Amino acid sequence: MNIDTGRVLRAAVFAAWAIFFAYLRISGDMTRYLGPRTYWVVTFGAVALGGAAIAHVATLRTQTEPRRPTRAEMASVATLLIPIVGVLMIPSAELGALAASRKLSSAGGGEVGAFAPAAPDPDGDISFAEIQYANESEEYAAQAGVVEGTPIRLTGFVTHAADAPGEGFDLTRFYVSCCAADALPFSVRIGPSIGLAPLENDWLEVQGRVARDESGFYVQAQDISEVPEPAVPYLY
Amino acid sequence: MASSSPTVMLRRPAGNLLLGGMVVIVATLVAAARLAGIGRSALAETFVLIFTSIVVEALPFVLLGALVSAGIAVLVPNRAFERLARLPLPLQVPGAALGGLAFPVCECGSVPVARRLISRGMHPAAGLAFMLASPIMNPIVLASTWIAYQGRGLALQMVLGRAGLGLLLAMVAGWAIGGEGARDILRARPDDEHPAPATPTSPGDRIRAFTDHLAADFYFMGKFVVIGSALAAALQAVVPQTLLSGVARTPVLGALALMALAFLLSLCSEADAFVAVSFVQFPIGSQLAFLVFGPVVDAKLAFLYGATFRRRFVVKLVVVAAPIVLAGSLWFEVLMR
Repeated sequence: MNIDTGRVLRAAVFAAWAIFFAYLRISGDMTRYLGPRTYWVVTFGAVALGGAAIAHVATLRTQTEPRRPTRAEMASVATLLIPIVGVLMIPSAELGALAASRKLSSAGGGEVGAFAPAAPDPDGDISFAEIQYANESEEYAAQAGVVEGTPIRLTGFVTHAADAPGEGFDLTRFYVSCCAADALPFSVRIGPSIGLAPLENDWLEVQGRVARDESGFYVQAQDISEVPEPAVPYLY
Repeated sequence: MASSSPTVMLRRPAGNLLLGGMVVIVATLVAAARLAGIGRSALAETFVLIFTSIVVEALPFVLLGALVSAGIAVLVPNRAFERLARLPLPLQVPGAALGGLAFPVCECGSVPVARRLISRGMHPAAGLAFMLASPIMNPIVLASTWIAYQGRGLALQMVLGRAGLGLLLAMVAGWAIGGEGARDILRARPDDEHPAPATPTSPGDRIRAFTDHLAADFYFMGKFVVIGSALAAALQAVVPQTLLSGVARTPVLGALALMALAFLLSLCSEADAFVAVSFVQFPIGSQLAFLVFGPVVDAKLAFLYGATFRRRFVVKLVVVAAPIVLAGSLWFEVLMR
């Protein structure tokens, strides 16, 4: 009875991916890569890949001469492990100002804005999307309650940082549907305030009131504090 | 040659050495990258995050496709495919395309299944029609399209437009490209030379044959998903998408621009409607072009197709798909005005 080295190799890769998916699920790190719509994929991946690994381990022994793994198979193994190696190299990667600048849906006077939903939730919180939608539609602004003087609290990261202390900047948050590849940035302009000069990608909590000028709605900050990146970095 | 010795032995010391070497190299690379602070580069972070997210989302679907494909290989008897192959082609192609309605996986899962169906005797035209239709027409994709466009009061129109144009594209492309025999369209794979027993009888043989087919498909498709995802992530991290917004208002250029963007982004067809709906400055027809072209041709799929099918398949597919999607999206625009 021989052990098939090719199957050992395949079982190891299945197991590596199953462990990686299980880690994403247990640690909660899947929120960095996926939206809630596709969280189930991680559970399915951990279980199914784990099952495939077990099935391979159960059939490692062969009566025949085991076939040697070819160079192509070794290359396949290496290629399939690249994403896991990438995560080990950069374990806490995040989408920031650079990613926002590359995306088509830009906010607050960008060239392409997001469409405003027909019926906002009148009892819902006002957040990045509501402010941006309100800039596109007066009707939506009225329905969503985006009016001057409304108190607001936003947590996001800085894009278009101020050139000098006290100047305004943009606060941005990504909205994700399925995974980070479909993330869309929504930004809100934070008006000149309090002599602060936050840097790009700094995570801030801004409390203030909705204000409006010729460019549209923005937030006049009353209090700005630096905060750590939220456990769930995206909005949905 | 069968060994009569009961001793368990590893036959491949050189292979084990190579494996050990790989582990050491990877461990060294990871440590070096962390020490060098590569994670502090915004470009590297953006690339790794998008790359990993595409692979993490796609790989379970590849596995699902490989599971179905292995099931077809091991559990479905040859006579079923022989009966299917005897059906007239004008019945096979639309039937296969409509079969996509019952196969709720995205494009990564449909490729291994189509390959298996064609290699087992389904006419290539029908196999391709199934492969191209299922990522557009499956119930999850149509439901997500409905939800995404509900807010604009265009849910029914977009679902019908997407399903109708997707079905048309799948059938025409299937007929145009899949007219040749399986040998002329499928690229030979190394594991084809070492097939599992065609009709495994004992449960042990069946499990072994099933896992062999599963692993062969998963490994083969998976590596190209990884390579394609890396390309898509690099394009997303480097190319500013605002380059395309200058042509947003022109229907023809707008449709072409969003088709190019669909290729570049390589989004899962179950999520792309939520992205398409945000492109408000593009005409609705252009958004439809994005939704129909993306699931059929994108950067990630180009690698998968290149490995599955013979040379120039991708070029042929683009030559057939682009005019159909462009014309269809423009007519959709006309009807919507």
